[in-house]
Amino acid sequence: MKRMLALAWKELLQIRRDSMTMRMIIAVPIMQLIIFGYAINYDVKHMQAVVMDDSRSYESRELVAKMEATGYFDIIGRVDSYAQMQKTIDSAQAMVGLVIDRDFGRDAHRGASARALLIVNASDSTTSNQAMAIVNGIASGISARALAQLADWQAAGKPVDVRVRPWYNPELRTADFIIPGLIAIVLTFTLVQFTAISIVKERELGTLEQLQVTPITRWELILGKIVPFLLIGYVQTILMVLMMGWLFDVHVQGSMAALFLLTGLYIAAVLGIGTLISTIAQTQMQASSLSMMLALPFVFLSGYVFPIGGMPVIFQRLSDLIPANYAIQILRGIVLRGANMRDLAQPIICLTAYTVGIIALACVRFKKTAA
Amino acid sequence: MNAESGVRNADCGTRDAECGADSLIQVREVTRTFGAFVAANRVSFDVPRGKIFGFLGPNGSGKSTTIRMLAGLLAPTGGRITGFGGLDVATDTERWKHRMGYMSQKFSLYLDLTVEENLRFFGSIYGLSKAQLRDRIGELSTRLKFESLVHHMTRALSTGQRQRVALAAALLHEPELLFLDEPTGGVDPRGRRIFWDLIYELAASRRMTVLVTTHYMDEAEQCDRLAFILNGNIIADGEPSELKQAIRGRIFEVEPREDPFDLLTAAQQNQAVEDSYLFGVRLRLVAAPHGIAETAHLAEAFGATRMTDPTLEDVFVSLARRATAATDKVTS
Repeated sequence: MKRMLALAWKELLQIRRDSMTMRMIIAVPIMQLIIFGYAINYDVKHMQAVVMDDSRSYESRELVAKMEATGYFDIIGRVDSYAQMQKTIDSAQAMVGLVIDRDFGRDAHRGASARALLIVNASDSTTSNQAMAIVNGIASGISARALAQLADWQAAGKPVDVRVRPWYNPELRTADFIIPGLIAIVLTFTLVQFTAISIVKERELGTLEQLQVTPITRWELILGKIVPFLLIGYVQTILMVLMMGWLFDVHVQGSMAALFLLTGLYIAAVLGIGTLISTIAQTQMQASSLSMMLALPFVFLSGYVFPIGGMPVIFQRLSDLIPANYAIQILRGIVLRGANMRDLAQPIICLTAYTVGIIALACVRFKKTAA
Repeated sequence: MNAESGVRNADCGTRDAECGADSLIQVREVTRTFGAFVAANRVSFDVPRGKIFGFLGPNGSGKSTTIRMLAGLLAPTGGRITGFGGLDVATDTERWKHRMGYMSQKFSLYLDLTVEENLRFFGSIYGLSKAQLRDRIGELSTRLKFESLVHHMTRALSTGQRQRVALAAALLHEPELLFLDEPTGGVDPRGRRIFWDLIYELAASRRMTVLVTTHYMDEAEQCDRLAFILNGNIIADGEPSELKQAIRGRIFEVEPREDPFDLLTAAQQNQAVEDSYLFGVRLRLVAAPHGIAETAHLAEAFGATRMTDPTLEDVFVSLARRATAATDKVTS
């Protein structure tokens, strides 16, 4: 214990003296919070749209006006021919094209089916889905009103009225979805690399061998290397929880104690991965590259930006192997839904098993490579 | 390695009573393999208590492997290493490591810590109290002459200074046995001299046992006892004078009358000459045990000849020749 603390203290001394690492500890969370928090937004407003209005009727103008009023579309121009419209969309000047049939006004007035065509550049599926859903919504609104008039419907409300209540994130803000998971991602990005490099560096320098000729045990050695980074992980977590509230108005709904306890569990898993990398990498450069390589699946397969449910089965199974997956479920649960430990039993059990497994594996590998 | 020359063969394993009398460490039949490669082959020797024991061998001879096993860094594939009055390195690793100090050629210190921080760290790993740390660091920095450097960043130290600090780090806990693995690598001759003077003084004043590996023959010369290792086998083990005795009377030094390079070529082709090399402007011929008369004859033909004392280099080359010849005979 005393030897472990001596090692941890030495580690902290070295970290404090390394201004680059000190800066990274603080700068990486801030940078990523700002990039992911502000830049990622699934809710795309101001999509550029062109209109080809062959109808030039009151009804067609109403449709265009309603589209514009949603704030999701900016009508950047009007075209007179289909060819012109194609050119505008091909050249990516516009994302959306609305073609209104010559008889739109008349048909709408008559109660016949009024036709309009929405052309969407669907290469970006998120944006195009959203454009289609909004225009559909406007159209069904107009239809419902037309039907009501036609049937001389006096009853309040529509025939089928589904009211939607978005719980936990009522404003459907992307930030609410992204930010809690970011805690897990930032911890992965910084700590895996820090631990791996700190161990590989000692091996390169020969100090690891010098430690191994002392009476220090393997467990004391690994724990002594890990404990300082656990502290750093907590500093980063506190920083991110505070910034979440200040910058994005995302506040922890659940228990703060559970949040920190379970974040600690994830930090331990991440440090285990770092130690494991240190047993594979020969140089600091390799350790750094390996850590970076690992960060990618952690971002993309953990459900952090893309929902796991939408992945092919093989990737879903792959995501089971990524501890960030469980950490993100836990973090979103506690921060957004105010879930307690029992609600999160499943991801907690998985994460615990993962952490224990990875640390045991790191210890076994560490013994082999140290010799 | 025959009885008459006084060089004892490396067969302590079968004669414990004779070798183990005042030995600190007993190495018995220790083997270490890496896959199919045998790095140490049934190695046996004793490290005598309170002596400076030199462990010699070319790179890749199994020297490092053996030292690493003795220091508890590497587990042997077979055999036993015991010492410190009944400890076994394999089972009493922690206690074993408390009683030894280790300094490698890398002078492994943390470059981003000060000298004092380094020493405090290693000291506390050995469980030294604050007061003990203060006393020991004070004493060693005076003795090893780096008092003025204790608050300097280790990165700023010269190789020689780092070597002394690394030595201090290995001595903080007052070990009974000090391992020095090529301790003077990269240190200038004057630095090497100062370092060795210190080692002698320490060994003498504290009755500390030193196990040193080196490839500097002048350093080997100063050891109380030497073991030679080649291709994983101990080929000789004895006091330097004993070892030299084995080839005394077989070294001829010639003042060449002709181009020494031509003579060298001629000598190398002669079966009676075990080894020949240039020694300054002179030529040295080492006779094979059976070819003393013939070598003497050849030397006379080359120029003015006199007998000379063997160096450890001569001993080592001669031993290596014979060991290689023996294995060749076995394998062919």
